[in-house]
Amino acid sequence: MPKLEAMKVPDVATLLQGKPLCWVVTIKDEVILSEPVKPRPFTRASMEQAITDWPKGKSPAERLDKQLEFQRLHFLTIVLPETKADEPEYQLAIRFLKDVVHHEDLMLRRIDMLMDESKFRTAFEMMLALERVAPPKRVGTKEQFWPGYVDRRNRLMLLEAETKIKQKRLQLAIAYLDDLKAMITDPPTEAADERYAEFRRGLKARFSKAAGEATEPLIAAAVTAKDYRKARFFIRDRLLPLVPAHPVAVKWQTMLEGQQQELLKQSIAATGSGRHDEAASLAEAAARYWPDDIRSAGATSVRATYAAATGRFQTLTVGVVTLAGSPAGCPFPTESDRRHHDLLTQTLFQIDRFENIPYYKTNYFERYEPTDLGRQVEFTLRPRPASWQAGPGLTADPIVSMLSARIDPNSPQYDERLAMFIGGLSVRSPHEFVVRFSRVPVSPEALLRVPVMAPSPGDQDGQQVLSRRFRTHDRGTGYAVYRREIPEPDGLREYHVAEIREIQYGSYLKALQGLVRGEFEVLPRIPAWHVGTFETNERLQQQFRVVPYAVPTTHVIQFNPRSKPLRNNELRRALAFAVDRSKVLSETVLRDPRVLSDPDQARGRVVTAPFPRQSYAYSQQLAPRKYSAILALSLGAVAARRLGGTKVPPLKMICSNEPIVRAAAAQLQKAWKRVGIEVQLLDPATEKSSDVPADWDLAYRTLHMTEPVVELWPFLTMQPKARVADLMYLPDWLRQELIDLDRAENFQAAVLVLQRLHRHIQEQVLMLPLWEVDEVMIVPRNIRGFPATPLSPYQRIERWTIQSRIPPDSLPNPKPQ
Amino acid sequence: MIRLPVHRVVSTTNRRVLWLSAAAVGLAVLVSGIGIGQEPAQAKKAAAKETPEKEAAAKKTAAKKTAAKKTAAKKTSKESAAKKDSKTVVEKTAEKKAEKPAEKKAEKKAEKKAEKKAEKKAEKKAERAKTPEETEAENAKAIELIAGGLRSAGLQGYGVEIFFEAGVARLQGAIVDAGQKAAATTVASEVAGVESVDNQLKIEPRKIPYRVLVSLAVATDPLVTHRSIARLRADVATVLERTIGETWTTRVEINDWLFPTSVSGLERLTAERLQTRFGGKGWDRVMLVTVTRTGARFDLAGRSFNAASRDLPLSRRRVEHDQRGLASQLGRLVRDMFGATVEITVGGAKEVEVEVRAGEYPVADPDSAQLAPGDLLEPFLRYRDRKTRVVQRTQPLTWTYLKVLDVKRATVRCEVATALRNPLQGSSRGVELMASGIDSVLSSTRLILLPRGNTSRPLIGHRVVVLPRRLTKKAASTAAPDEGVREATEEKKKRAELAKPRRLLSDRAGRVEIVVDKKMPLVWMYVMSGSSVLARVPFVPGREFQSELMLPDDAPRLGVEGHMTRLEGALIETVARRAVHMALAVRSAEAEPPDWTKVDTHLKAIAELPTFQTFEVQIDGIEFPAVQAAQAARNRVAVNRIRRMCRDARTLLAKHLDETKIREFRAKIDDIRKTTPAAPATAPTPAPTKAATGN
Repeated sequence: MPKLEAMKVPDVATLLQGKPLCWVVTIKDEVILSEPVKPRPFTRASMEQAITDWPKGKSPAERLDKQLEFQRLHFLTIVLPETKADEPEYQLAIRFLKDVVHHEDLMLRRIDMLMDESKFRTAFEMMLALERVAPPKRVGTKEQFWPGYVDRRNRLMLLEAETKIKQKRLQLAIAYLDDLKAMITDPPTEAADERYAEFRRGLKARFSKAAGEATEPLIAAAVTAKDYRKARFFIRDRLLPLVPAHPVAVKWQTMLEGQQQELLKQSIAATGSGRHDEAASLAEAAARYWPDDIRSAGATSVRATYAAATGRFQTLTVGVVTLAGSPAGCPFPTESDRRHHDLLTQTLFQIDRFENIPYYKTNYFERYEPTDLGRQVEFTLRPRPASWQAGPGLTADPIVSMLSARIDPNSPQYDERLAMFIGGLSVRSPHEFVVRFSRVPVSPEALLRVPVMAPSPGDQDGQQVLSRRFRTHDRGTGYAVYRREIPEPDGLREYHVAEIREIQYGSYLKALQGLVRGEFEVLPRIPAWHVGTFETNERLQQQFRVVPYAVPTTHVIQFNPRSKPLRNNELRRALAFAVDRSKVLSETVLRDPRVLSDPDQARGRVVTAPFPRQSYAYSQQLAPRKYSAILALSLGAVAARRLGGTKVPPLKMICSNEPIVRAAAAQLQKAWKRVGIEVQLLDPATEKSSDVPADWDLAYRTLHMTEPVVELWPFLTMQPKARVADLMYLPDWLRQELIDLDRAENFQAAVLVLQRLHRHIQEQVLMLPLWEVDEVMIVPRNIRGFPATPLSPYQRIERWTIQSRIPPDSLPNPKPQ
Repeated sequence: MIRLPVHRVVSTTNRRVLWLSAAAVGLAVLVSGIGIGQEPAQAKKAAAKETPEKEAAAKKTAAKKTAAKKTAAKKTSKESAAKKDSKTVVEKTAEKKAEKPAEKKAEKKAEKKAEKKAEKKAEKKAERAKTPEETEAENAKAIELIAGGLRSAGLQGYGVEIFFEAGVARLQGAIVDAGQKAAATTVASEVAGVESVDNQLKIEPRKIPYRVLVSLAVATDPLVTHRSIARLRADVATVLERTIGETWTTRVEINDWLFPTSVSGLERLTAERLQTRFGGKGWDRVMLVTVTRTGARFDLAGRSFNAASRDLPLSRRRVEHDQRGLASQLGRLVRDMFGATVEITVGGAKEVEVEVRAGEYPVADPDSAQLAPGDLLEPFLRYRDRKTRVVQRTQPLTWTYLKVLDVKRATVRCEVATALRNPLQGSSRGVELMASGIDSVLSSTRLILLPRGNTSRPLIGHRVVVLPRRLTKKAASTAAPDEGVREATEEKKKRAELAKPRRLLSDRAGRVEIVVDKKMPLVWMYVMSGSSVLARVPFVPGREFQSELMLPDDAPRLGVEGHMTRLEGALIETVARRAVHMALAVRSAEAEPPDWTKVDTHLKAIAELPTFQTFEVQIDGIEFPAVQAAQAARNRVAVNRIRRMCRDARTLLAKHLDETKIREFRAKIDDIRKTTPAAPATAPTPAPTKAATGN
């Protein structure tokens, strides 16, 4: 028999794939190879314990009966592997048995060897195999592993972590340490073998050192990158859970807290000197360094200082996909342009709410009273602007000058339509003026939804708008900052939003991630398929409100009146029949199958007009055209013949950069291609190339037409103002109907004309209304004062109040109900 | 402003008058262009032939009339020596025309006294027995009186001879118009001793030069002296004489009444005011010219009053920077302001022949010809009192112009451009059909489109197509079709052949701006309403700031057109759907095996499509109220057009929705159904079979 010293630990393959064997060591240190023996582990000790514990019989007869059984306890049954003998089983008396090296022990020895050779992967595989071979036994609440397994596992983890640290794969090292931390909290009960006694003693120190080495570079890098949130994460969420009060954590935390205190002091000083914007900025920066109060004597409370500074100068952060003023790829205003315009410009009258008709309000007039059966309106201006008002107060002079310029044909601001209605203007006093109408307009408020233009010293863009709300304070790559034209004065009981900071994200998904991370507060629009998440998720519900807009966004395909092919009636009809609008709406725009199954519950619907379905102008009797590809194909063939070819000439379509619009446009393009109509979707405009080609045929537009009486004309002509000259390219009958609309003498007549126009536009396919989508805005719960159903993202923004709250590093867990 | 006394005027014709005065000695009474004394070059030759005969006749009677001459010379000391002859040449020079009223009164008084004395003496002599010499002297005296009367009346004539014998005065020669002819009769009949007048004067304006008064107003300026103004006046007169020649009899005077002496002063003038001021003075044209100096620049402005048409076109402006060129520039300005006056002699619907005033005279400068091919004239009617033949009023013929085609001395052939049927058919008694030359002054003219009967509601958004020539209304609608209107290939070809039209749209005040194109001074404007032409009018833009065009209300018809367009769209869809269903039904029927379920579905779909009757009901619903509205507005044209449109639509529907096609199609499907062998049981049928078997 071989001596124990001569025995070699089997290799990995033998151990994993071969028959499990154990070494039975005799008192002469000779080794008998055997199949696994029992009891195990601690075989000799277990046998001795069994002998010791053998119960003494009461009677000799009983003792005699169990004598044989007792004798058996003194022998170890050995089964020789691969023997040719008839009976391979042998009995080895305990007095000859020194020890048993089990198969599992052999595996542990091999694991040790592998770890020594830094073959961690193989060692880890061996560990897993060992765990399978000798699964842990549950003893009470604890698991009992094979003796020596836990030490090796801990060593392996630590070695792995140390190796990763050396390899600068620090996050991975922390992950190992994190796992190791969970394991070392429950140390093994068995005595460690000689080799691992020292390991056990030094494990804590090695672990702490490794944790420090793993996290410190990460913290330092985050601080260097001014990503204090990340630094805080490594300190508070990674290092401190591993090693409480770790010196590295303490060091960096002290540094960050010091910075926080320094900035808080500066913020307090700025507040004292009336520099509220700077104070708010410093308080925000301090909170970014360390958002928690420091529990030490003389320390400034970050929460109190932050609340004071940001409450006085409130900043609203908004996440957007397209920054206002960016090239849109369209010759007409997009969502971002409208948002930008609404924020910067205050009109004399603005729409306050919308049901099926718009309701107007004004910030400038105290009273306006129609007299002489509406032929004259007397306006009385507010003596001074409200404290919350962002723009300057106005007197009668600039308003009358503006109106005069608008009705003067030689002025660049000339507005034909206004000139047709206004017969005279007179100023009675600095706060009173009278507008005399030569023709009574259907809605004077809609007609006077214009900004007041006058040269002003703070005119940034040269547009000479006097009635401003906010102005662009700063603008750079990926962000834009707007501030009140006139800041709120000191001494008010309550302050409102003073600054709006728009942050650009590449996609809606990124923006949503940013919202959840607390990078900004308000998301003006989100894809419809994410709305449900905000409405149902408890954590999100606790943080945010889902605010629906009053007016849905209508998506329309508009034809260029100058496009020769699209003058063809059959081609327009072919385009209309080729698109399965419900399907595109369901699959691309809303990603909601309810559009097809339960349209009333969906967040969008197919429409037949460019104005909302609930609008007074919408003729409910008109049904949308049903999808019929074969009819489209047939009409397309007729159109091609009429256009003098076998195929319809390729058409060009433009649309904005908005991702959903672009995706829907691509779907439409595919639908038209299926019926043989080639439509080229022009490349989106970029910062470098913002030019829009003039020879486009189709345009994908999104709009919110609240007052079709005045908005339909500019929409059809694609111009900002209603000019007769722009109607040149429309058919005479349509032109005269639009003129009739402008000349309508009362609201009922205007509604009749509008509904007639709606019918005619639908019948003649003068445009292709697609669908309308009920959009929502995501607003955090610490904001008050916004309208319940806003018309635009920044409606009444002057009156929004943000309750100061240091942005959390992550969403808090939901409160128990 | 420098004011000059009226007597300090010069005439370009002084020299000629003097010459004529001398030449006329010994002739029968020759009133050679009363007050002007010029004769055309052609007339000179004729006169030269006649001269020996006249001289001989004069010699014969000269001795007999010596005594009479002496008597007359004594009575009228201010008369010239030539008047002492029995045959007196009467001239009226420019100087006399400009004499002060006081002098005239004195003259008249003297004349009256002389006449009374003469009458008394004649009576006394008549009491005595008259000798032949005395009779001749009396005749001569009467002739002189007639001539004086004609001169005083400011009449213009050429080669006028006065004969008087036995109380009968006979007038011969050429005169400018009927009014003056009548005036001559009146003047002659008022002379003592004249019992009757035999007026044989011929109306020949072609031989009568224009009498042109150039009224030069120079703005007050310290650097402009009286001498320089006088020199300028003389220079302008010289320039005009050299450029215009005998066509004009010009007098240049210094204007002392225009205020302010600038273009604004000119623009304040009205035709009525000028008619009052210059009406009875015999001027054909009054050219008012102002000169204002600003530094080294001279701003010239001028406005011309046409006495024939009583028209006062807008002012023209020039700028001159060199003082030496001022007279030439003024001369050019005056020349450019002048427009020929013609009388329409042969009327017609498409072409007319006109006679040009003073057309027999050649111009000194070929560039200053009165008319050249391509020039434009605007016709007008001149109404005269039937008895007195005095011009009562003038009336321009709207939307009618003449374009000069061919010029043969005083006879000119013109093309008529008119919106009316035949406005130049011929003049009647008391109405003269005339025309005057026109030219664009402004860069554009604003045209206001107004509906008849409701001018407070201008026509907004109406298409105005401007074309260089007259087209038929159908061709015009082809030249500029309405948006969305279907065009046939032939129409497209025709359109491509035509010149590209100018498309305009009336604004909210119903205005369109017609811009002057020098290559196309006369344009044809087509006011369109859908496929219909509301008006087709010729127009010369740039002559006035704005003009109005009255149009019928086309709203009912246009509404019907819109409805028809929409019905056409619905028809396209219906026909396309029918074709698709037919094709699919045939395919399903001819498939192996035929799918009769699908065939039936398609047949049902075809049956459910709108039919001819469906559309016809719609057309009736559109036609009736539209016709009612048009009839209420008494617009018969619109009624007819609406009915025609609806009729055409019905024809189109009948063509495309022919029921026989459907019947034929159904028959074809039935044939296929009959000829196709019975198909084995289709998919749904086995189930019941199995069930039956099971049962």
